[in-house]
Amino acid sequence: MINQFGNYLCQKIIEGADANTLSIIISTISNQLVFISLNVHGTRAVQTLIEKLAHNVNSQTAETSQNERMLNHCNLVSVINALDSQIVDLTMNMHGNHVLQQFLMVFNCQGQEAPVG
Amino acid sequence: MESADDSQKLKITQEDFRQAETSGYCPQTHQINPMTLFAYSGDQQTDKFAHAFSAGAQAPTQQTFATESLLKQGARDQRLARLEKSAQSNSSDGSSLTKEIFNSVLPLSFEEQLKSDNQALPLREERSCSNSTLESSELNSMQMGNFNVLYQALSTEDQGILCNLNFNCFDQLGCRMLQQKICAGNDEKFGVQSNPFYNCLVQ
Repeated sequence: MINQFGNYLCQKIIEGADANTLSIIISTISNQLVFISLNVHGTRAVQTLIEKLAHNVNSQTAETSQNERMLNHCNLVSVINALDSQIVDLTMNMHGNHVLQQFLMVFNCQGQEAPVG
Repeated sequence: MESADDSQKLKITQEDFRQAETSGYCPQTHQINPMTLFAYSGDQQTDKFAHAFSAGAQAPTQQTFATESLLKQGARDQRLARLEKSAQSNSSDGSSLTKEIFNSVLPLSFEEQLKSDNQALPLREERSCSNSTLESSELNSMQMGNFNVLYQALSTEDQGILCNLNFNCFDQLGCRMLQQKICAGNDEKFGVQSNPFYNCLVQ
C-alpha cells in the first residue's frame, strides 16, 4: 500500500472487494494502518478503503443480509479503532489529515454516529 | 585437623547451598534441574549436597522475610527435606533423587498446589489454540482447494502473471498490467466479483 505503484493496485482490489475480502484486508493491515496513513502513497489507499467502507455501510438495504451488515459495521469499527490511538499524529501530519478528512466527507450525519457509538 | 576441615566444610555448605539454589534449584518454579543433579556423582559430592539442603532448611530461622517469601521458603524446605531423605537413603547414584523429581504421585504442598493450578491455565489456552489451529487449517485447506479450482480455470498467461506476483506488485508495468487484468474480466452485471483473475488474486 505504501509502494508508489502498488498502491494503485491495492486501490483497485479494495474497490472491487466484498465485505469478507475487506475484512481480511483490514485485519492484515490494522496493526500498520497509522503508518500507512502517514505515507504519501499509503494515504491514498487508506482513503479508498474508507470510501469503500462508507459506501458499503450507506448502501445497505433491506435485502442486505444481517451477516453482511454486521461485517460492514465490524470493518468500519476495526479501522476506526486502529486509527484512534494516534489520531493527533494523523491530524498534524500532511498526509494523515486527508484520511480524517475522508471520514468527514464520506459519512453523512447519520453515518457519523457509527464511529462514536 | 579434622575439626578444622569440618568447620571449613560447614562454611562451604552455605555457599554450596547458594550454588545449588541458583544453578540446580529454581525457587520460582520449585523445580530442580536434573542435569545439575546428575553432575553431583560420588559420596562426597552427595554429602555436600545433603549438607547444602540441611543448611537451607535452617536458613529461614536466621533471616526475616516477607510473608510471601516465607511461604515460598516453607514449601521449598519441605521439598528439600524430602530430597535430603531420599539422598540419604540412596546416596550412591542419585536415582532416588530423580524418582523424587519426576514422581507426580507425591503429595503437593499448598503453594505447589496453587502453582499447579496456575499452570493449568496455559494448558487450557494451548488446547484452545490447538482447536483454533485446527479450524484455521481446515479453512486454509478449503481456501487452497478453492484457489486450485480458480487457478486451473485461468489461462496460461494469467497463471504466469500470478506466479510472478511478487515482482509485478512492485513494478510499474506489472501493476498496470494487473489493474488492466482486473478491469478486463469485469462483468457488467456482477462487477469484479465475477472476474476469475481477481478472485484468484484475492485468494
